[in-house]
Amino acid sequence: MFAVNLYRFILLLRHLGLKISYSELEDCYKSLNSINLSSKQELMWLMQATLVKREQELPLFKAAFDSFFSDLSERAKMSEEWQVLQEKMDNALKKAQADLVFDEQPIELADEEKVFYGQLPNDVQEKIKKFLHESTHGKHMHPEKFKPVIEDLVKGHLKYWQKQLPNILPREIECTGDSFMDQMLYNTRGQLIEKGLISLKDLKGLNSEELTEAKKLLKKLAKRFATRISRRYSVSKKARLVDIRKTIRGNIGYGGIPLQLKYRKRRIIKPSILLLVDISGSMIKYSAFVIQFIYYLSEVVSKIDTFIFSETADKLSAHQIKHGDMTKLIEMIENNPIWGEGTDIYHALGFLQNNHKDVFTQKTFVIIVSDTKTIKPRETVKKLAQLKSKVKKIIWLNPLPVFQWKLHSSVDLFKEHSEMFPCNTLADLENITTKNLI
Amino acid sequence: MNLSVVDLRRAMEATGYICDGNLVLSVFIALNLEKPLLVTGAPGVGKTELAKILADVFNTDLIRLQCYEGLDEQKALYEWNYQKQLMQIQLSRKGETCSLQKEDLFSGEFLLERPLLKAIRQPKKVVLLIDEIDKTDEEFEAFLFELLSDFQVSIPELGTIRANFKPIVILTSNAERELSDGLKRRCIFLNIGFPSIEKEFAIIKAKVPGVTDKLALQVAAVVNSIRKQFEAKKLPSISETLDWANTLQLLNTQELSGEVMDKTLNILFKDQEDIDSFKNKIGSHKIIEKSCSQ
Repeated sequence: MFAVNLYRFILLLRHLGLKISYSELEDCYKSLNSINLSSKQELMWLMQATLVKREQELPLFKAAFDSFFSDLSERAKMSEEWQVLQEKMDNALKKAQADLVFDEQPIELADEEKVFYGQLPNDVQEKIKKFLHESTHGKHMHPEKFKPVIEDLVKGHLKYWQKQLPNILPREIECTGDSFMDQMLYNTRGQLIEKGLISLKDLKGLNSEELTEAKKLLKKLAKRFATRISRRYSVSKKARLVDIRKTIRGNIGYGGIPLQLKYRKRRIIKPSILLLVDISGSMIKYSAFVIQFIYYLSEVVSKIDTFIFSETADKLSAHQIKHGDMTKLIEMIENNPIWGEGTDIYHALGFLQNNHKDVFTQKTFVIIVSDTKTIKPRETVKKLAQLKSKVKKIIWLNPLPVFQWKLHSSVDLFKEHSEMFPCNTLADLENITTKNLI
Repeated sequence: MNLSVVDLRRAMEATGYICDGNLVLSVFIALNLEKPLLVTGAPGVGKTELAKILADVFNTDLIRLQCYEGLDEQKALYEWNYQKQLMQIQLSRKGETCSLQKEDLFSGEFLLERPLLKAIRQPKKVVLLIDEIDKTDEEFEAFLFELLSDFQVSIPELGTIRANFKPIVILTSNAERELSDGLKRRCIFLNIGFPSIEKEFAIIKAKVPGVTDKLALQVAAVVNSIRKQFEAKKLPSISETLDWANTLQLLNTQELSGEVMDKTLNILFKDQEDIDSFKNKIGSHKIIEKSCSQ
C-alpha cells in the first residue's frame, strides 16, 4: 500500500514539474527502513533528500507533501472544497452554454472563457445576454456572416472583464483527468498562494512588499542567466592545446628539448544580447517586472543593447541603465513618449532594422519581452522571419498566462519564428533560466 | 559505517557541528546508499565544514578538489609526468638504461595523481570534497558521472581503475548556475538554509569560547533580523556571525550596543555598499532595539 502511495506522490510531484526518475524513486524506497515510518517529519526529510534536487523546488515539495500526507479530517475538507468547486465550474459552464447563443446557435468559445462568463456578476452577464439578444433580432443581418463578428465582440467583452476582475479567474491547474490528482494539484497550488510564495503569483498583481521579495529573486535569476551565458562558450573539449611557438621559445634554455610545455586554450566569448522590451499600453501592468528585468540583466550582462518599443523603438543607453538607480530608470522609461502607446511590433522592428543595423549579427541573441498583442500580426511575422535569418536566435518572453495564449492568434504566429516561453510568474522565469537557451 | 541516525548526530555534535534532523538524515541516507551528497546553500552556511566534520567523525582523510572555471581532467584526475617521461627517453637514448618500451613510459611511476584519482586509490574509505561544483563547466560535470555513479575512472593507457573503498563524496554548490540533471540524479540532495535564532545561538556557544549567553543571544537575534529585513548584496551567514561574535569577544563586549555594532559592521558585511545602505536604511541602534525586544 505504501509503495502505491509513494508512486502516486511521485506522480503528483511530476505533475508539479519536478523531474523524478526511477533512480530517485529507488533511493527513496531503499531508504524507507532507515527512518521511523510513523514520524511524518522524518518521512518528509527522507523524501526531500531523495526526490528534490533544487533549492527552488523545496516550497513546492513541502506544499505537495502537506496536501498528500494530510490527516483524514483535512483530506475530507479538501475533498469537499473540490466537489464544491467542480459543481461551481459545471454550473458556470452550463450557464454560459445556455446564455451565449446567437440566432439559436451557441457562440464558439473556449471552455475557460465559458467558465469565466459563468462566474461574472449577474448585471454583467445580463449586459452580454442583452447584446446577443438584440443582435439576433436586428434587421438586415445575415446570421452566418455576422456570427464570427458577434463571437469576436463577445470575446472582447470577456477580455475586458478579465482585466477588470482578475480575481474571479479560477486557480489555474493543468487537469490530469484523475480526480484525486487534480484535487491534490489544486490544493497544493492553493497552499503555495496562501503561504505567499510569490513566484507563482501573477507578476502584475504583486504588492509593494511582494515586489521587494520579487526584486531579490529577479536579481538572483538575472545573475544566473548571465552566468549561463558566460559558460556556453567556455573552454572547449580540446581545452589544453600545446602552443608550439611558445613552447619552442620557452625551452631554448634547455637546448630546444621541450621540457616545459606551454598551453593555449580558447578564449571565452560572451554572446551579445539584444533586449527588446514592449512598453505599450497592454504591457503597462507588467511595467514593474519589465523595468526590474531590464535593470538587473543590464547590470550583470556586459554586452547588451536594450530597446524599448511600442509603435516605434528607442534605445536605452547602457550608461543610463547601469549608472542610474532604479527610480531614474523608471522615470526615464515612463517619461519616454512611446510609453503606453499602442503596439506595432512590425513598425518597431522595421525601425530597428533601418536605424540600428549594427546590432543584428549572427552572434546576437534577441530577447523580446512582449505579450504579442500588436496590430498587423501577419506583417510582423514576415519581419520576424527576416530578423531570424540575421541573428542567432530569437527568444520571446511572454508575460501572458499560458491558458490565455490560445485566445490570441498572434502567439501561434510568432512562435513559428521564435522560441516562446511564458514569464507570467517568477516561477516561469526561473524555469527559463534552467533551460539551455543561450 | 554501522552508525544509526542517532549515533551519527551525536558524533557530529561531538565535533562541534550543530545540526538538525534533516541534515543528519540526509547525510545518513547518502552514507547508507553510498551515494554522493550534493549540498547547496548560501556561502558560509557550513557546506564545506560538513565534509571536514565527516572526515573527523570517521577518523579519515579529507581529499579536496576545489573547482573553478576551466578545471579539466588533468588537474582533477591525473596527469602524466611529462618531464620525467622525457628524461627517461633521453637516458635510454644515451644507453644508460635498458631499451625503453612504450608501456614503461605509461606506468604508475609516471602518473601524477590528482584529487579524484587519489580518493579512489586510497587503501581506506576517505572523504572526497568536490567544492563549488557550480563553478566548473558542463563538460567537467559530465566527466564526473563515471566517478560518481560507479566509483571508477578510465585511463586510456592503464585501463579502468575501480575504487577499493568507495569514498564519501560531498559536492557543494552555491547555485550560481543550474547543475545538469544527470549529476543531480546521482546525488542525494541537502539544502542548508540560514539557521534559526536558537540554532545560531547554539553554534555561537559551541564555536566561540567564553562568550556569555546574553551576548550570544543578542548576536544571533540581530543577525537573524538583518537577514529578514535587509536586502544586501551578501547577507551575513554563519561564518560572518562567528567572526562577529569572536570580534565582540576580543573587544570585551558584554552587551551589544549601537556604537560597537557600527564599529564592527565591516565584519558582518563584505561590501561597502551594504554597510552604507544598512546605516542609511536601518541603522545599528534600531535593529538592536527591535531584535532584542522580541
